[in-house]
Amino acid sequence: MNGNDPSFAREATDAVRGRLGSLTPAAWALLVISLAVLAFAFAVRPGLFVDNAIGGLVYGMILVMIALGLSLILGLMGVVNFAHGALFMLGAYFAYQVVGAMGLSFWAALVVAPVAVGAVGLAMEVTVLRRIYDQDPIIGLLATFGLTLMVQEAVRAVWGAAPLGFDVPRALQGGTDLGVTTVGTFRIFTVLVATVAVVAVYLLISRTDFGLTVRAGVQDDEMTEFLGVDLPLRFTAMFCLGAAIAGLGGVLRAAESGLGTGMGQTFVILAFVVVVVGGVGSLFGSVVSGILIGEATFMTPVVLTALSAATGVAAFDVSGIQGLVPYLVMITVLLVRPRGLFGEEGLME
Amino acid sequence: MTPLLDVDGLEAGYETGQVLFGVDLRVDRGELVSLLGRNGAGKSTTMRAIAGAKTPRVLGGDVRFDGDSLLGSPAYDVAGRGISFVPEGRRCFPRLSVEENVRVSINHAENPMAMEAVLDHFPELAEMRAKHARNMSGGEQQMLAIARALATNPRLMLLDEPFEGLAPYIVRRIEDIVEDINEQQDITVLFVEQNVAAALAVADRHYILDEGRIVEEVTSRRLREDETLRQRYLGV
Ligand SMILES: Nc1ncnc2c1ncn2[C@@H]1O[C@H](COP(=O)(O)OP(=O)(O)OP(=O)(O)O)[C@@H](O)[C@H]1O
Ligand SMILES: [Mg+2]
Repeated sequence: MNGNDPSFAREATDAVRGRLGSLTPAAWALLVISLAVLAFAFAVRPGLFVDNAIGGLVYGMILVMIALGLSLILGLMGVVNFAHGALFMLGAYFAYQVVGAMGLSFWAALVVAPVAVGAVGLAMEVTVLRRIYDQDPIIGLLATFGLTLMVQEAVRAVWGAAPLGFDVPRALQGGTDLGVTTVGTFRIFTVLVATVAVVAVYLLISRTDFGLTVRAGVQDDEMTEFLGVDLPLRFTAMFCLGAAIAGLGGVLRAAESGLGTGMGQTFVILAFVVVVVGGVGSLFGSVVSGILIGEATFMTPVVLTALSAATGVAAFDVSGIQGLVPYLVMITVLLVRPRGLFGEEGLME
Repeated sequence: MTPLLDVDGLEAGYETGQVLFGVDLRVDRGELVSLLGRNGAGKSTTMRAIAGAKTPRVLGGDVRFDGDSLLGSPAYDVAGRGISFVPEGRRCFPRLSVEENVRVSINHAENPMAMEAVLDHFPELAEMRAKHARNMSGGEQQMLAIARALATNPRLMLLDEPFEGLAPYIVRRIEDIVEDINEQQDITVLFVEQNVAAALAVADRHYILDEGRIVEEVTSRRLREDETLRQRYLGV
C-alpha cells in the first residue's frame, strides 16, 4: 500500500482543475452555451431529458468497461487489441448460455460469464498476443482482427445469427418513479456494477504492489525486467482482467438490450474512440470520456428535438445523428487537444 | 576458484551487424573493476548482453555467473540470480516517486534490503521520498538508479556510465557511494566508464574494450603511467 499517493478524489479534482484552467475563451464559451442549451432542453421536455441522461450514463459505463481493458493493454503491451470487442460479445453469449439456455440464475451468469471470458482472454494472450508484443503495431491489429473473426464465427456456429435475449431476476425488473419519468431498475444496477468494477481496477492499479509493478511496466518495460520483474506474467494477468471486465460489460448490455453477433464490432470501435478522447494511457481519462460520449450520444437528440420544437424549424431535428456523435466529439477534442483530454498526466502513462 | 563473473569469448550484435567479437573478462568476488573504451567500442552492448536484455542478440561465447551460464535467461531471471544492472541513462520510472521506484525493486527481489536501510545510504533521497523522478536532477536520478539496484541486495552490480553528465562534486559523491557499496555492502562491481580519472578514482583493475574486443587488462598503476596506452585506446 502506498501512503504518498494522492487520493483519487484529489487527483481527479487536480486534473479537472488543470483542464479548466487551460481552457481558451472559445472553449469556455462553448461550455457555457452547451450548459445553457441543456438547461433549455430540460425545461422543454423534463421526462425525456432525464430518461436520456440516464440512458447515456448506462451506455457510457458499458463503454468505459470495454475501454478500460483496451487502455490497459495498449499502455502496457503496446497492442491495439481489436479482439476486445469479441470478448465483450462473448460475455453476452456466455450469459445467454447460463440464463437463457441452461435456465440458471442471472446472478450465476454475472459471475460465471466474466470468469469464462477471462479464461478465453488468457488463452488468447498465451497463444497469440504474447508473440506480437515486440512487433510492428500493424501486426497486432491484424492478428487481433483475425481473432475477432474467429470468435464471431464460432459464436455464429454455436448460437446462430439471430438476435437473442434473456430475462433478469424479478428484483431487477420494474422501475423507480422519479416524478418526471420512471427509471428501469436494471439501469441503476448496471451503473452500480460498472462503478464497482471501475473503482476496483483503479484501486488495484494505484494502491497495490501489483499495480505499482504495472505502472512501472507501462513507463519502462525493459527497466522493469532488469529489476527482476517477470513482466510477461503481469501482461497475462492484466489481459485476463481486461477481458473479464469487458465480459461483464457484455453481460449487462445483453440483459438490457439483447445480444447479436455484431455487438462486439460496434462497441469496440466506440471504445477506441473513448480511449483516444480520454487520452491513451489514462484510466481516469477513459472513465470521463466514456461517460462524456455516452451522454453526448443520448443528449444530442433531446437537445435537437427541444430546439426544433421551440423554434419551429423542423430541420434541427436531424434523425439518426446519434451514431455520428461519438466521432464528432472525437474530432472536436482532438482538434483542441491532440493527446486527448487527460493524455498527459494519466495514471498509466 | 571460479570467478564470480566470467565472460568468455562473448560475441553479440544487432540486426545491423555484429558488435562484439569475442569479449573476455573476469571479475572476482569483492572486486571493483572498470570497463573502459571510447564511444561505440561496445561497452553498453557487453553490459546488456550480461544482463540478459532482449537486444543485443548473443551470437557466441558464454557468460557465467558463479559458474552457471546466464545465456538464454531473460533479464528478470538474471536479476533474480543476484545481478543488478543500472543501464545507461539512469532509467528511473519518471512518473513514480523515489520510494515507489525503490519499492518496485524491493518487491521483486529474493532477499531485498529494507527501504530505510537503502535510504540510509542516500540521505539526499530520503529528503525527497515523494518526489517524482522526472522532477529530479541528473545526479539525484543517478543516485535513485543506484539505490534501486542496491535495494535488491545483489551479489554483483553492473553500472553503465554512472558518472556521465554530472557536475564534479556529484561525481565525487557517486564515487563514494560506489566504493561504499563495494566495501561496506560487500558487493562486487563492474562499471563502464569513458573518463579515466573517474575509473582510476574507484576501480583497482581495468579492462579496455576496443572495436568489440578486450585489448588490455591493466592495473590502476599501469593505466595512470602508460600514456601511450591511454592515447591509443582512450584518446587521452
Ligand atoms: N540498438 C542498436 N541497434 C543497432 N546498433 C546498435 C544498437 N546499440 C548500439 N549499436 C551499435 O553497436 C556499437 C557499440 O555500441 P555500444 O552502445 O555498445 O557502445 P558504447 O561503448 O557503450 O558507446 P558509448 O560510450 O557511446 O556509450 C555501436 O557501433 C553502435 O552504433
Ligand atoms: Mg554506452
